Amino acid sequence: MTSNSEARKSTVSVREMIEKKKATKILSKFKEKLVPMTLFLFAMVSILTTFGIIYTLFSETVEFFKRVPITDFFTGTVLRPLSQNPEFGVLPLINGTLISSIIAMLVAGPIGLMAAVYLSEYASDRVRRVLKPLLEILAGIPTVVYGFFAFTFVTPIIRSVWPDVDATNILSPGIVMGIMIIPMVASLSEDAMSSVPKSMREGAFALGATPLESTFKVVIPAALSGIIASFILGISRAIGETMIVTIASGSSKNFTFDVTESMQTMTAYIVEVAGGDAPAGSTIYFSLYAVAMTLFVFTLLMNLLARYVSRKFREEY
Amino acid sequence: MAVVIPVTVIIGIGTALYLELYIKRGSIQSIIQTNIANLAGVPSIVYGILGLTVFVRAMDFGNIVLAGGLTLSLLILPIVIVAAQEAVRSVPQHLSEASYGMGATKWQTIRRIILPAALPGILTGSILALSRAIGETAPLTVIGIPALLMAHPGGIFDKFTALPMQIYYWTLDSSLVDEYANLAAATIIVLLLLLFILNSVAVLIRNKFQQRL
Repeated sequence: MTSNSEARKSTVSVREMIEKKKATKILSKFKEKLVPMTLFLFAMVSILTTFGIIYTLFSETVEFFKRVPITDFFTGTVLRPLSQNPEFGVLPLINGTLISSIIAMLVAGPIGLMAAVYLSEYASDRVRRVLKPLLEILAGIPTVVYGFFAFTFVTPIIRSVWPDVDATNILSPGIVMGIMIIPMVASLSEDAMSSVPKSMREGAFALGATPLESTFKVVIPAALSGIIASFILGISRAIGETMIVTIASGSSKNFTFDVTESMQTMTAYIVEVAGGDAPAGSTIYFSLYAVAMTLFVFTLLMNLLARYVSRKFREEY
Repeated sequence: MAVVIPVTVIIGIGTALYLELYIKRGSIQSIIQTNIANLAGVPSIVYGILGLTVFVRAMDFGNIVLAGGLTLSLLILPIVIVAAQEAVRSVPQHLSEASYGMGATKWQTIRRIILPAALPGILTGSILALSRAIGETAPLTVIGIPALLMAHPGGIFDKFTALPMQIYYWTLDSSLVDEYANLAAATIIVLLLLLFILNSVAVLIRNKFQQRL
């Protein structure tokens, strides 16, 4: 009796299962088609972002160049957006940007490279396991914190040694920016050096080279493309860096090569103009986009160059 | 942050899945890939300008949190995509092949096999990207969160402002009021502590699930 009813129950449930299966099959077929389309839409977001950036920058920059001739913008050495008869020369900003980036690379290049040499050639596994996370922590500190560090710690130190330095100067943010970039240069260069095969080092040792000789005459030349790419990416990062220079370098738009003076970078100018009350539609508002466009093109070229260098000159082993 | 997390995680994972599992190898794929790599190198302040133009001005969002959140989402999206891609790629091929062998469809395989296996990697990458968003200041200064603070120059901790913005203003004004430097330092400690906790969680997840596969 009980087995009979159980059997009947099971036949019913099998029939139900078949029905259910048919229903889910249609649903899942629908899903199989829907999912790729949805995911494709998501993937398009990143493309749209790029187009959004280029479109907004480009359209407003064109508007700016209708009011200010393009030659004045790129050759003018005077930037006075707020005065009675404003002048929009971008050269002081480019100058400030390049000088701060050069200072940063003078700090980050050698230190980052040496750190990479130590990590990949000399450090034991235990030391490396402690040092790498520390470098990652350094890389994760927000830039505004570095700005605070530059303004309230590094600048007073520089001024106590060298009293001519202004309270806001380009030297201190340059140095701190270098410190900020060290982890990036170090870890990218280290990756390049660790991918040099061990057999090459052993070959150098077999020829009687010391570890130092093998590092500088074999490993570094072999990893050069990666190292140069890491330097270029570091410069690009320094060019795009905003908060450190905004805080510690002030806002005077000097066209000078004197590192003790305050200079403004492209990024700091954007912050100043956008943070102040520039009414939409005014020339100064459009100058924001022209400067941003210049900045965007600079960093884009740098990044493309870095990719090109690391692809083109990579030596395969 | 309530805006940033869902937007970036959903779009980021979606893009990564599409790029890794659906797209045909070829020119479109390499275009999207190059595009993402270039986006990762765009200075954050340019994203600020984009946010200012599109979200604040063109779409006319009164809600500053939404505009700021969307801008930061776009900023960290490339990082999340790359991390998720790596995670999806590191799922062993034989797992998904076994799933197909059992008669599972592609979406079933992705949802039940690949996503769970890739989840720790995706989580780690997302958390690290999130900590980047938390510390980001430059896009917020451009978008116009300052205007809100101008109304409360005493430094009232407004709901609509962010820790890094407070640090920025207090540091700038520290030459005017002595206590501001101390305030900024205190806020930095709070911010760093927050980041430290987030990063430790990310590292913990990574270590805990690393041996599994």
